[in-house]
Amino acid sequence: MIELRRIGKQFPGVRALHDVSLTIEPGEVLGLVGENGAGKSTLIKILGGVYPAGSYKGELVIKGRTQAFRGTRDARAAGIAVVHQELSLVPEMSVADNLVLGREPARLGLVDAATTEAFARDLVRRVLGDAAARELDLQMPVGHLGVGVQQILEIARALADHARVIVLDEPTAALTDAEIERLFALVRERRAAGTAFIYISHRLEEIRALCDRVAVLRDGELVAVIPPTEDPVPHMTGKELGDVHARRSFEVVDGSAVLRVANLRVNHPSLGGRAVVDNLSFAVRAGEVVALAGAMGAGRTATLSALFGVARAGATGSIAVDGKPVAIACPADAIAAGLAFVPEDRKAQGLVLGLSVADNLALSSLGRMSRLGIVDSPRVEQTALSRLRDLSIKVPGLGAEVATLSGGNQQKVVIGKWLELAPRVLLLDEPTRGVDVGAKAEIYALVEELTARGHAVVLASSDLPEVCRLAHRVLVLREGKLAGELAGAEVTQLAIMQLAVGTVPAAMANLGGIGEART
Amino acid sequence: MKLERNAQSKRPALGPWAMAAVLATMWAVLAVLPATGGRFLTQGNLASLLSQSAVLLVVAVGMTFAVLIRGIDLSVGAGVALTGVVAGLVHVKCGLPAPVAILAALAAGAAIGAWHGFWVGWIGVPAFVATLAGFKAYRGAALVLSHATSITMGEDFDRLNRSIGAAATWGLVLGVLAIGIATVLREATRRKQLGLDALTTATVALRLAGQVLLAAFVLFVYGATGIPVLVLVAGAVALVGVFLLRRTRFGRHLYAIGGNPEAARLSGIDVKRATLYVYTLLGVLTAIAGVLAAARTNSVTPGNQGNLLELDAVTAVVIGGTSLAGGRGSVAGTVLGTLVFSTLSNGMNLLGIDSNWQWICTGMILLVAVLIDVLSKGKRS
Repeated sequence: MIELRRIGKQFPGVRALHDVSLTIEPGEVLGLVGENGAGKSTLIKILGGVYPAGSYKGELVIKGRTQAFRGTRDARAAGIAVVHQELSLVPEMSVADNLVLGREPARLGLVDAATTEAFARDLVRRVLGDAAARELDLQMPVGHLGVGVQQILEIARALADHARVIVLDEPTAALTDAEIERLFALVRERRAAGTAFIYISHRLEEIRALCDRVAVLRDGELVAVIPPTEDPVPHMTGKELGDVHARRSFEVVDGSAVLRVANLRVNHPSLGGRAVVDNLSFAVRAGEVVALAGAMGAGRTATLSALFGVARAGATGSIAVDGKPVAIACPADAIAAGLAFVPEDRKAQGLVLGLSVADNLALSSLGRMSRLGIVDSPRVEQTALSRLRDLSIKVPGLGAEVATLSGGNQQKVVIGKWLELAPRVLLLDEPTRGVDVGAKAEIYALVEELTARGHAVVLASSDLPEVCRLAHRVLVLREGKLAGELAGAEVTQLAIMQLAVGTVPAAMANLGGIGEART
Repeated sequence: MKLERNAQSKRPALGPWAMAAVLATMWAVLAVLPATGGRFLTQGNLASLLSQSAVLLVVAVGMTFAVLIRGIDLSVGAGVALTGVVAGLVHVKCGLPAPVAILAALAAGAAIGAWHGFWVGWIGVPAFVATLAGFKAYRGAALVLSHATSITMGEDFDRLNRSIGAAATWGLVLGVLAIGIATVLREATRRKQLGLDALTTATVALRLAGQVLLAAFVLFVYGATGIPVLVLVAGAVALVGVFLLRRTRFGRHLYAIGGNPEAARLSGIDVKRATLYVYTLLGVLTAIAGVLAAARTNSVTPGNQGNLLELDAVTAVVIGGTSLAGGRGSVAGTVLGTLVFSTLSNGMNLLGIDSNWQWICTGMILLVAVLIDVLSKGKRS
């Protein structure tokens, strides 16, 4: 019914999608899996009209007619609804008002409460059944409801638009088991009624339980469409079963721990009582790269943020640097303790885009370059120049706004702003996201050079080849808990992913030790 | 690697030099327009222009700091009234000497500013709301404290209107000029010391020329009569403001906070404390303006003093090229913006334009200034 014909999408320096052809039939649930950066979200955005016609190659055909969406409204009108991870409900408005939002049953422009409620009640009854409709208070502000109910309301809204295809993007990330059951029941019921779903999830057991077919993306290409009973992991990583990712040999780093973290617990920002990181302990030695791996929401970023004193809802646990316990309540404390943080979103968190390259490089170390609070500008410029040289950052001029640099050079500025302080521990969160291949190699070389000089590095990354390339040891997190630790030759993409998704597929079980190295 | 030292990005949309050119053009037009009768570019008119600008300039400099970190202070006008009343009561009712009265006003201003800083920085209330509360409250407090009657300030405060004398003026202007030139030369030496490319002769010449031109202008206006204390204070506030923003760590942190508060925080900058300092500074400057305003009219009328001054200050700041989105702007721009603003009203008075029409013109000019800001930003991205 919906047909993607040879879809391709190019970003500056990155080929996000290439030659993807796929059909979605009425009444089927199509699983969409792939590593981060494989092209799933790009595909969804093309389907949902976020990337308008003309900005991508190939054709999008619905019922034999080629579609040219100019925006999300067109996609919705054509029957495609996308339920994003970040819900698009208005928390302060009631259930009924949210359900009719954008399609208010108005007469002469006037919205009346009774009609609204009747419309909403009818919709809820159709979607959730009579029993649930009686339980749900339509006048309750949506913000007071659980995330699971909100997710279902989103789907209800999509059905109100008579959506033929509903895209669910990681819908279960924040749901309890009971809520997941309810969601699955709803999806199965609508499937029986002829609605098609595209289901994106990192949780392979859900894919297996719910989907009719599974499409696997890797590096922007559709590499396989397989039945749900088949293990998609080898397709996702591009490695044959048992193949070991080429990896340089790592000497075991011994010596005393530079960073020691004990019983770290990070509270969930909105759900009280839940933790995004639970009872995590680890140590990092001088000259060592320890990677935190795991699926989206497993607690990688939360761990780094907490170490740097920016956990929104608070964190507990103890942290010691060079054997001395430190109390970290804010980034300034963390910096004083010898930590440095390269956050995952460099534009939002790492850089002041409107300031010059020199000013950004001096951002965290102005104290060292001033006397009595007066900045020694020539010194700032000199330091910036030597940083540009050391990191081979390419800029039109020191006074150029950092916004004008390429992603790779911007990222090097974010790393460079810490070097003046000679931090003991570097916390790197997705250090190569959105940078081109050349800059990626340079950043890897930089990390290796820093560890050679005795810095300790904690790397959080969803890029498995990157983890395998850089890490001496890998801590795999699953739902905030340590799922396993891999070191030396045990570190393979396959082993990490198995620990991250938490199931050993049947095909793997008789292979013996998953992480067993064979060269 | 050859790097160009191109213009610093934190400069506002219209650089200070372009702004100065705009101001010079306005003055030239006003000087030759027959309707002004050649009265505009006279020493006397320029002196009164500067005296009229003094109070506005002091608060506009403070407002620049707040706008730079994405804030605003709507309570400035009411604060001018309240601190003026405090000074008046201490001096007239309690009979304490003027310096004590002035210190009391400054303390009151600092307390008001710190109060705003607390609400904005720690509680996270938008600056617009926190200071809108002050807009109402301080005016009320001024009326309550003064029993809604005007206070006549007396002889001691009148000294602020008087000149410091021609000799002292020459000494002061030449002294400040010497410091300015020394700073430029010292930077050049320091650059050589650190092995950086020398500044081009043109850059050095431009900086020195700017300073000499400014000194010459001040001496043209005040060389014979001497500079009034009121204008001197405003000038000193402007110089300190330029120094704070351009030369100190505090100032550079403000650009970072205004540009991206999250990145600033993750770089170890204490955003809350900087916010507290900015509003406290603005409070103190409001008190200085309160004292100057009281001195200019030699009285405090609690119901009217400083009425809508905050909006004039924001206008001057925006005309001066500081972005209301934060992170871009300069005190030099604000000084020029203030002069443009004052020139408009002074010039329109000389042209005999009805005051209601003056409001309309000022409004239009404000829009044009913001338009320039928006257009220049569009070009960037």
